[in-house]
Amino acid sequence: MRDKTRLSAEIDSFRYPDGTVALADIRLDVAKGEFCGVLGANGSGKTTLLRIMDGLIKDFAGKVLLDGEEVRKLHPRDIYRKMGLVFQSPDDQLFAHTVFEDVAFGPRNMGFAEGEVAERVRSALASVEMTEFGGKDIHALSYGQKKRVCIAGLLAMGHGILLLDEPTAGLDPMGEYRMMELLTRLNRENGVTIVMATHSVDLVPLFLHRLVILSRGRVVRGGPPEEVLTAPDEMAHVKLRLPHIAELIWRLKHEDRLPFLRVPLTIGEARREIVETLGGENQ
Amino acid sequence: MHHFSRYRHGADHPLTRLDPRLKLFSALALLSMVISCKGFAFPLLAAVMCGGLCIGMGVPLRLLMLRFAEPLFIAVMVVLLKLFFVGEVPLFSVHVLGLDIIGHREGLVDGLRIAVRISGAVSLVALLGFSTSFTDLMGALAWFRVPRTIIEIAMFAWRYLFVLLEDAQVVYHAQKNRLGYAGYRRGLRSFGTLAGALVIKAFDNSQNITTAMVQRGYDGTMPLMRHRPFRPGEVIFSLLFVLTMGIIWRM
Amino acid sequence: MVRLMVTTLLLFLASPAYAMHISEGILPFDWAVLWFAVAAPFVALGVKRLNGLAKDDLAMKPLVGLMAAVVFVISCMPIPVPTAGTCSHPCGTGIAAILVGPLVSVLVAAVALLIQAIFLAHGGLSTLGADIVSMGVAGSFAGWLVFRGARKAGANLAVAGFLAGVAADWLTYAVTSVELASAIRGNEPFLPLFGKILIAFVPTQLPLGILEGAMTAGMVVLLQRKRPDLLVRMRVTKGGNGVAAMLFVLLLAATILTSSPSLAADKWAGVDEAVVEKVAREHGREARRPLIDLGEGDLQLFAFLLAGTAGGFAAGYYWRMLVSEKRPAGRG
Repeated sequence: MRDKTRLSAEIDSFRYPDGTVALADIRLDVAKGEFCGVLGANGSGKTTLLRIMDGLIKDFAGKVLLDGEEVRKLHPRDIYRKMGLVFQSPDDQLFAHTVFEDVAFGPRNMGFAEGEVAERVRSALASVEMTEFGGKDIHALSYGQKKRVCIAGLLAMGHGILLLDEPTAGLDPMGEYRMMELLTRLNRENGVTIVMATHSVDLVPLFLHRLVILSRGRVVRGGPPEEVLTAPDEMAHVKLRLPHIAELIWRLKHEDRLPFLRVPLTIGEARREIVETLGGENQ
Repeated sequence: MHHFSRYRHGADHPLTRLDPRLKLFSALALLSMVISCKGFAFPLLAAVMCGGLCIGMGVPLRLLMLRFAEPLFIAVMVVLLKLFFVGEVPLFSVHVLGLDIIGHREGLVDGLRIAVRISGAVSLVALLGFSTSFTDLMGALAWFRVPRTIIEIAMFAWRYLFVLLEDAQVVYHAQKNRLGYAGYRRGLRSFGTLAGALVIKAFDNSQNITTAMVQRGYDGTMPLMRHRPFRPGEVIFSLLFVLTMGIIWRM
Repeated sequence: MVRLMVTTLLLFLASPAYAMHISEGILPFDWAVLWFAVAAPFVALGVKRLNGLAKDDLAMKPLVGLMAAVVFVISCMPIPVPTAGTCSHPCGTGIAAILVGPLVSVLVAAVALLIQAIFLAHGGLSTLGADIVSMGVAGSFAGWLVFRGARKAGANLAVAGFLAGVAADWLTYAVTSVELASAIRGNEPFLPLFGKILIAFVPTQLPLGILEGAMTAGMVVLLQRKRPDLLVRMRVTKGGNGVAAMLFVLLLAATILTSSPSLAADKWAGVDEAVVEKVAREHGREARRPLIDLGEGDLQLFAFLLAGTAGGFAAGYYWRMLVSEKRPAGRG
């Protein structure tokens, strides 16, 4: 597995300018092709972690390795050819006037000929299902569409690693779901390695391979979602909660003593668990 | 807050599709003629022509009136100022509040001359603004070798203008809902806070934009804007048009 | 006396909302060109300065762009002026100058004015030069100099900010009055009309300047309280540069001197005919006809226009090579 690791963060400590500890004792390895989530309440240090991993914050103790090279020592050009961060607010990111101009910015800076630029923009927009919006003005887009354009802007540069800060924040329930589906598709079909910061516990277990829970700047637990999201009191301790469906089954199991074997995290799993457990009883 | 929108009019109008560089060149040439004109006919012709074109492009009359409100108000002021204070030949006199106010002939003519000039110039620029998108206009300015730095900051300004306007409105309503503008002193203070919040926002936003752009290879200059090649027909049309107007202007 | 009262009344009504900007078309061609010429060196220096700053801090250009948007938004906001009973708007160049320095602030104003001219008919394209001189150059330098001066004299941020706002506002309006009076005077003498306009603006501009000062002070204090890091970053709360300040005083003085040719023209009308030609004739060098005689009418103006356009285009075309270096070719 070691050779497949693309991004590895070992952050001993990072303090904000006012002296408070933002992050401490972080160990996070991201393998090629992984879809990994950093779950945490607001103020837990998710954004700071992503910014350090992306090489935007440099004055921390520890090291971040990108394909084995320390990010702090790499030229920005070499970092940003492989990896890019999508900010939470799309207005912080989209500075051009039309969708095409914005997505073309990266490829043009990489020195591609105009034909190649157009081709890259086209395929990036296709990846985020925004093909027909190329000529639109940025300000005419909805919030979710803007977020997609942000992602396309990085995809057009051919990034293998995407860091996303709260990609589903501010979207309506359907939009959240579609965004997660889009990311899954990029991960599976385009082989993009994804690290996303989020606090939406209901969505995460549906899509992510691996989860790291961040609380007050420290990693409190990590692993596949079903190992990490277990008990409501532990989640409350890190200012999070279980997915609603998991909480329901957990209570039925522990408080009403119903004979559930596992605590499922998604509706599909829960349905199967209920049918198996209760259906077995009825027979 | 203002009669100001990005709404584009007459997207299919030939004038909208004309090369922005030619539009800018023609507009500036005509503008120079209008403001260097000493007669009445030419500025009036420009005003009627451009006003007509605006309406022909589907610009709502209301929007057009709003656009003209401020300059026309100033024009009226200039006419009154000149009418009452410049000239020797009395035209009429009004008796108000025990005062004799005399209107002068030369003043009226002088004032009207400026007023006509204002109308002509304003309609020209209004037509340019309605028929050209800001991005196209900046591209044209860049082609005319306006320094890149100015073009770049103008593009940033235009992009974030609407973001900031929205923010300002949100803050304004939030303050108003909590009686932030009840009373003069408090209103002033609320206003200062609002403006300060915008400045802070500008700082933070610019920092984030820069980070996002650096990630995508920004090194201090934006990639060159690309222009489609001139179409000979359009060039010849524009030059002939400017020439014709020049001849009319000389008459 | 009656005239003065009525002028006052008229301008009193006209000035509040629009005092800061000279409307499109008010300036005749030669005056418009003159003010563009006055504004050009300041804009060029601003570009040069910004390019220098942007080398060290990539965020400078986006910041200046956003400051222009802020100045635009601020000047869209109606402020009730109690003495006039109507609304007016502040100009916001004072705070911009305090934060980004006077030269870069000229650019901030220029960009805000350009957008207002094209999309609001607030100010104008032909009057852009004049508006840059009054709002950008005069406002920025007045605000910045007064702020730095007051800080050096030991004033706290609030007081310095207040004085800077007042100075920026009042100097802007004084210069606007010069520009207006010189352009619309026709055959009237300059000084009386300038005086009338100046006096007429007083009832609205005096309090408005104070409001702008209060607003600027409020903003500086808010920044100091909420984001002191920004003030440090923009070197507002650390010592300034005395030599630079002196230079700017000189530049400002030079502008003011060069910007009032009509003043001199009134006093020295006919100096060519009265002195130069007379002396020339005494020495047997009679004045002869020009080589290319275009008369004194529109034809001459047209030739001037053509020459100006050609010269301006040539200068503009090679402009970039002078003020900015070339972009390195191979990258990416």
